[in-house]
Amino acid sequence: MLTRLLTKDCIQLANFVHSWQESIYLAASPLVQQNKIEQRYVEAMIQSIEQYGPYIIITPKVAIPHARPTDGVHELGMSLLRLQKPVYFSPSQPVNLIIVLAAIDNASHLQALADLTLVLQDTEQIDCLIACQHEDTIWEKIKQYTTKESTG
Amino acid sequence: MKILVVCGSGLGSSFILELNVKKALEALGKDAEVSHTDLASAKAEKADIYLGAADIVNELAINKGIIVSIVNMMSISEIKGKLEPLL
Repeated sequence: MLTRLLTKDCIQLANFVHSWQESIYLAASPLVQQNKIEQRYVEAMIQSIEQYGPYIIITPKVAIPHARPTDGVHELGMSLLRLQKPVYFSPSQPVNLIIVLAAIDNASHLQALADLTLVLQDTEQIDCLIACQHEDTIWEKIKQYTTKESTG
Repeated sequence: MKILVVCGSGLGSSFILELNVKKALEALGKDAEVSHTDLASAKAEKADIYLGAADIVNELAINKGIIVSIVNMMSISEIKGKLEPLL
């Protein structure tokens, strides 16, 4: 499920960004271009972090910014940005992987998120994704991590 | 025992944390009702334990129940360690 949603054209690599806001704009850009989300969804994600703090950093180095379906989501989507140099959401919270989630309701994205936990439950797998130098490699690693568990 | 996992929108992080709370409970051999919701709904919902990122659960009134803040939502050992004395 995760690799069907997080397709290769939604995975990006960058060396660095200047701010966490920029990282979210960049990470979400494939979804905006594909018209899965409106620009205002991107702003809603940023606003949510400004309001509640960076609670979307679910484990060190990994953030999953998201807002509500009503903030301008047309189609369920997910995109990933891998930063070579971390961006700081707070002075103690460096992030290298930004995974944007655009949900259309309360349920249809849950299997993809469950799959995502299989990727993020192992810090070595996270470091391995950060070390990847190509979009295809990231996609293949994620596929490997998510199928390994479901067949075993 | 009811555990409510809370996040800003009730869509992403709270669901991931809910899965990991269930794994932690299983590892502890304990049983509890676990569900996830957004902050606004959590303010109106009764539970024994409210659990989430510090930024979020600190917004809840303290008299509602036990509040547990989690730093690393993917860390089963952190969740286990914080829940165990409360179960």
